[in-house]
Amino acid sequence: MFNFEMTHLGNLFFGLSLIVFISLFFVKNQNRDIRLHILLLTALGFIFYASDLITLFIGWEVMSWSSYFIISKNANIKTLQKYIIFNLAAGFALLAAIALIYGFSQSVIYSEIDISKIPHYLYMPISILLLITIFIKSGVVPFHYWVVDSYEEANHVFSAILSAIISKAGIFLFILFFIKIIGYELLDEILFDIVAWFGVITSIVATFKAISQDDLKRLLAYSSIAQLGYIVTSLAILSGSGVEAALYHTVIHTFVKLLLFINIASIIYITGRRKFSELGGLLYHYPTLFILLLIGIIALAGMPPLGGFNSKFLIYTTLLEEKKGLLLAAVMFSSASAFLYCYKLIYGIYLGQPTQIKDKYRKIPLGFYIPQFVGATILIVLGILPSLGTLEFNPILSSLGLDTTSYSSLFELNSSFASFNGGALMAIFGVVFVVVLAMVMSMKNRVVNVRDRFDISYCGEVPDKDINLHYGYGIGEELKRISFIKVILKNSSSAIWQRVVNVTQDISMIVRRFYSLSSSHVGLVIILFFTILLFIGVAS
Amino acid sequence: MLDSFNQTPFLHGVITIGSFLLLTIGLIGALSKKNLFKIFLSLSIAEASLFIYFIGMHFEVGKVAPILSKEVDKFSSNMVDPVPQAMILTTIVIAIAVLSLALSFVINYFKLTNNLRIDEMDELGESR
Amino acid sequence: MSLIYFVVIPLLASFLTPFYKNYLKYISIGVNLLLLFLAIGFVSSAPLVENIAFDSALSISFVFDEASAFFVILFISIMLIFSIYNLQNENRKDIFILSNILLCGVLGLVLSGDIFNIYIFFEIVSIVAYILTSLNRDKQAYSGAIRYMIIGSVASIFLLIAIMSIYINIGTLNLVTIGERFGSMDLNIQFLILLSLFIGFGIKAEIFPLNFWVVDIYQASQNRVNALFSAIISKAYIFLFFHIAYTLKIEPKFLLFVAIIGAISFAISELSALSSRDMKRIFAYSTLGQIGVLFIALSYGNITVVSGAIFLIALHSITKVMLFFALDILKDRFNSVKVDIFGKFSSIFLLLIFSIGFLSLLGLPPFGGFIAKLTILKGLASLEAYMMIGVILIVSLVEAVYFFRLLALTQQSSQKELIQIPLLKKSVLAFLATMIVYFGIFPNDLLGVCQNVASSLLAGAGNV
Repeated sequence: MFNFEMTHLGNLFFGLSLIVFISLFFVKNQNRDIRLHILLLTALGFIFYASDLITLFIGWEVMSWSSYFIISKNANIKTLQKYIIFNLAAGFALLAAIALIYGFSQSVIYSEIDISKIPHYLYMPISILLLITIFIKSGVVPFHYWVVDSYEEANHVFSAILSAIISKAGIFLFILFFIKIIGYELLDEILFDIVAWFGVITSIVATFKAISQDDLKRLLAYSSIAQLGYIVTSLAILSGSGVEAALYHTVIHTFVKLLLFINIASIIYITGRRKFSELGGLLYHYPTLFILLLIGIIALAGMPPLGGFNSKFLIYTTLLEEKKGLLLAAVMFSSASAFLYCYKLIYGIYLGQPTQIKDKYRKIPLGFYIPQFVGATILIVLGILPSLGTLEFNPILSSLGLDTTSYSSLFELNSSFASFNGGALMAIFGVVFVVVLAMVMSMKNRVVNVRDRFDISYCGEVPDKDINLHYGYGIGEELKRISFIKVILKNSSSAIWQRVVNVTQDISMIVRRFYSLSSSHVGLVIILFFTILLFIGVAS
Repeated sequence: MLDSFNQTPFLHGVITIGSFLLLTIGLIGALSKKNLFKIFLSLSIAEASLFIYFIGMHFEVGKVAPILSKEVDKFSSNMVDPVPQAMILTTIVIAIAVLSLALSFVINYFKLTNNLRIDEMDELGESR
Repeated sequence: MSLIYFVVIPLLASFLTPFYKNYLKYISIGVNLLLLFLAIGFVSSAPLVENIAFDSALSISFVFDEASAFFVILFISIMLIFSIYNLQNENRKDIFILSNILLCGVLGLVLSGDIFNIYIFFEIVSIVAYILTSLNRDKQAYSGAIRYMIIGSVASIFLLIAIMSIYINIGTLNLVTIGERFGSMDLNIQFLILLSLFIGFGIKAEIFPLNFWVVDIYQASQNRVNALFSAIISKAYIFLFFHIAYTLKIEPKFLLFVAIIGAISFAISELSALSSRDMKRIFAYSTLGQIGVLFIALSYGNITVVSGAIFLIALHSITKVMLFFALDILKDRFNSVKVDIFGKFSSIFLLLIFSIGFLSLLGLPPFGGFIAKLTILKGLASLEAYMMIGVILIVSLVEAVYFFRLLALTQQSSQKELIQIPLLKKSVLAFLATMIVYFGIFPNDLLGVCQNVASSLLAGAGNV
């Protein structure tokens, strides 16, 4: 009835989910419903360990509605509607694809599905339906309409779960269907070129939107969309190194977002503020949080020596191997621009003029630190021993029938063009970091601290209260003057989707009048109907 | 001359045309009249037209009623088919029951709202 | 043990009421249990044809094949649950009289094997439905009952036209014989008969464009009566429609037309529900939508699709009964059925009931509605009916909008009142919810039964 199988792929994803859920268990969170979270975890287990399509689908839909109920405790109705409609559209597209496969293949067990029984003209529709599911779940432009509001309005712990795990369900589905079940030899090359471009465009658009956000969680939400864009592009290459790069980035992104969201949650817990325009200068009071965020930023931007560099390295290598030069340029552009929002994140909260906090500086409960330390540790470990990832992924790749990567030692990451030694990198960076820190510490006494953000009287100018002097807040304002970016920021997909909603509402009100007919109109409708019927009858 | 009118096809033709007219009158009345009593009256007319049609179409000139008595003790072939008559009797009873139920509803409705026009019955429907 | 007991026992139980006025409730439950055991006892000897009076083309016959057996057991079970639920309702005891006659009529509809008997039971059920609509005795109830009677009489007229044409041209009333001789008639007369049957049964089976009256009727009658309407009456007429369609061996072009009508009906009702603000009307629109899906599924004469439709019939009846009973509890408390009552109650149990009901109606796992939808879609895929799959899924998305909007309303924090639900009602609702979840997780037994029912329905009345 339900069929399960422990596969390496399933182990990887479910292992990630377990680590995330367990570390988040310790974060103090009022009105959290443990039963719904356990239901969600069970549903994820169904998805990742299913060995037939029906079990997969059951897990998928239970994940959708159980996360809806968790979010519904905090979000408002419009956001909730957006969330569930898009996720159910993804679910129904998946159901349509499953029904099409099941209708012809007579079996839903993965190993028994016979692709040759499905008529050839159905391959493209099934692929497009599956791609719609994956795009919606991963927040690829233009289906990302639901993502940002849901992440913003859910409670902070659940935003971490959403970004870390639930967005990866689409990635799992991609690998499962397009590589394991259907087999990419049967698929259209052109379709997946288009998919790669969707991924890249998503990352560019989302990166620039992230830079211009004022709300902490919205910036992280757009950043999640952008990172998933990289993963989708890398998957669309459909080769062994592409899948390996995607899996590596999945793992890195999970822990990065876990770290970042809980860091943000602790900041919001302390200050009660969520906007950059109201924050700043918390470095001296919470240095631990600053270091943790710094680790997260370095990994998010893909800089050495942390694990984020490994996955970026592999993505670039894959694109070079397959000679996709334009894609590579676009990914590099987007990746470079990502530095801006990373910098905004750290500057806006911890550096610069201080926040106006009414209460004293509170102590943060230990529970907030646990997920952050878990994430930071794994990022550092993956930085020192980059081939730890390769060790994990090689069994998956071989079970999918793809080429595996060789590695000589755990400290080295190999690719077809180059390799680097993670331990050496970490050592060099560590030494440099310590030297610079010592220099900064010794200069601390010669730095003038501005206690009040309006105290710039020595400049000869007295600003008004409503002028925001915080430099970090303004990152992104000047970007709007670049016309390319202004175009991206001004238009949004919300216009299209809002149009769809309005049209449906209008149709609904018109159609509803059929059900309040008075009897004189009834006669008209019935006579009209039967005239049409008579014509059809006479014609046949 | 009157014998030419006493032929079965002629009778069937008259009955068909007559009942079709009555049915049309009944159905159009049911859909276009505004007074509740007139609507139910039109529906009764429509049903009556069907009864006339059914019985009339089974009548043939020269046949007798299917009644058994002391002399005639089994059904013979110059009797009219008895089944339609049984069906129509049942249907007439049902129609009477439905009509009386309908009239009782109309009377109760009138006692509550003093209204007998169907286009002024606005208690049901979406309220804005 | 004759099949006629199914009709006679509830009728007698209802007419002999003056002798046991105070024990009417318990007698009704007893009658329902008795009939249930009778039905289960008959299952082993199915298929069964019983002739009353003389054996000829003009006799009255009752037919008990797998399809009839399924519907008989379904209706008796739902009536049993209904009677148990109403045990503590002291104010209106007369609903039991009507529910017994309703059971008699509906069982007769399903079991009868000749077309005039069908007309008789059709009228019995109609009359009981008219009276049930007016049970509240206020002006809305009478308004609804009057409108229902007008439309119902039009349906009877068209059904009479069809029966009369059949008798004049074929000369018999027995369904099997009609089925055999129908194809050899003149094409114009066939078309006329099919048209009249479509209008007559279509009005009662609530298919577009003949279902403009339904939503007002649901608004006019009580919630318990709404449960009976959507669970028993409409399903009986749908069964009748397709039973006769497959007996007369109608050609597939006409059935394709019926499927398209079903799709239009589904789309229009769900779209109308989007902008509605009255809970009873929303549930009525949802019922009309599911009836549209049933018409789509039952028109494709493929055993997978039809067995999915039968599964959906069983699941939908259970779900709608549960939802209307839950709505009844809310109405007793707040005295209104507008959508905003959803934001005013705080009861985990009721929230669970509504969530299970809505999610099952949408066809989401792990509830029974999902299995029904999956079977139907899988069957449609193997028949290459891709447009239908698309229509069903897109309109289900529209349905999801308003159901989830209702669920979101319950979570908005505002002034909330705790609701105490009596133990009997709670256990009935819990039982129904458990059935929905059970059929979602372990559907195979019911699916096997539905496949038998489907093959028997598709063979028409002549398979015994």
